[in-house]
Amino acid sequence: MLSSNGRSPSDDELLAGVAGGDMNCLEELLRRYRSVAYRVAYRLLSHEADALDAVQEGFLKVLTNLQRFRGESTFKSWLLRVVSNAALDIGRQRQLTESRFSSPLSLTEQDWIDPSPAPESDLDRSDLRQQLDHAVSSLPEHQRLVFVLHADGGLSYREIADMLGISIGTVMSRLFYARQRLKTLLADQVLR
Amino acid sequence: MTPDHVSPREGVSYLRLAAYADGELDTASRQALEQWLACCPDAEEVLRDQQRFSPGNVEFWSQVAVPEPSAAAWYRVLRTLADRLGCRPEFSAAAGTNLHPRTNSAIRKLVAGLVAAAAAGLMISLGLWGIRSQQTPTDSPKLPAHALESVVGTPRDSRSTTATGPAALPRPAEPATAMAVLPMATAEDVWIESVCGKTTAILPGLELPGIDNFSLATRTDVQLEPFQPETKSGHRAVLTGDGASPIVIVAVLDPANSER
Repeated sequence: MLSSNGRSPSDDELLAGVAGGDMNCLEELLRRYRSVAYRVAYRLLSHEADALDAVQEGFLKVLTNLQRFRGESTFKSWLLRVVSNAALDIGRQRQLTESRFSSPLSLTEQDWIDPSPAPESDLDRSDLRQQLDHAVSSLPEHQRLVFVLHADGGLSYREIADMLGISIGTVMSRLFYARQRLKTLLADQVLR
Repeated sequence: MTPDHVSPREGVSYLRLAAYADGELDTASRQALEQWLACCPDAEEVLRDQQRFSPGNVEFWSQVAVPEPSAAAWYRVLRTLADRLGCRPEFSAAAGTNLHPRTNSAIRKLVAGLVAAAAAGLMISLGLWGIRSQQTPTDSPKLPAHALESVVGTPRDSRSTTATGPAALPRPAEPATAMAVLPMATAEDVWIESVCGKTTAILPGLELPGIDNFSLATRTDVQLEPFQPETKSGHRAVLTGDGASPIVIVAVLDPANSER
């Protein structure tokens, strides 16, 4: 999509278009940010349908509250904040539902880490991703969120700090401990 | 020694390994950390752990990339958002659809291929139908109801200049099971909300093996012959009015699911 002067429209121009009911602007905005939003939601939920719900909910909340977007952050970081909150809400809801209708699980870290792992060469991308997703899901929520926003959302320490209202030092600390824990969880079976 | 069992000052340095791995330190902080690293061998291993999960480790993150949802899944999200936000497609009067004029060549080729294949199917279908109709007259057949509802929707203008639209397309009574046919209509005849200004579109409800989204053709993609409303064999054909742009839809008809 190109604007009348032949350049790609800015986020602000697209947002103004969406506010005016322009479908093309909505589609372009979705196309521009859907992948990064989905990556964040998926890594927080490990479930495609739930992640799509979180992305949809996030876009909807953002686009119906445009008047609250004052340009203090980028549209991307604002969107990712809302999408990640939606994903965490969905995750909590899912946990609640599972705890009500399923027998309680008492998995320890060793329960889900295969005690006799396949050789690394046998692990395809899907295996490795699933193991990472599982490990990420076991992180404390505050570490998980920072880790995902940085790794999958592509946000800088400053953007994450501003988004979450914490200091850069706290972002650094949460990332550090998240990675150390992931290293322990994934052990050497998938990491060189 | 681990970062949990170090002096507060060293602890801060360990934490900074995360920022160092991510390239988030300024020059002075980076140089100070490198001096500390040089005299603290244990920190090297911790740094490697941090670097493994840093976005800079492209190899690792490419191996654990999140699988993208299908185009159809994104389309459903778009439709839901559009409905909830009250967004409507803006049709270009000149093009008939609001496809971007700079449709890339690959998609043009795909459309051309689809059109060619569908046209061949149409020719065969019409031929078979013609033979059949000489033996057993039938009512004007219709597209499957679900396809009409999802694709055609509500006509915007009942004063259509076309002789036929998708709903009145001649369809073989039996032989064309799962055969591609080529309904044509102008923008005056159909309202396709799924066309949203991109080079691809999705037509839910229609089946095209292996393809779930494709471009709709515009006048620049298709050359239409000046058909007569009634062909020599007695079939009704598509007639586009002056200035009207054709929308070409490749569909697969299943007589078993068609309305009679």
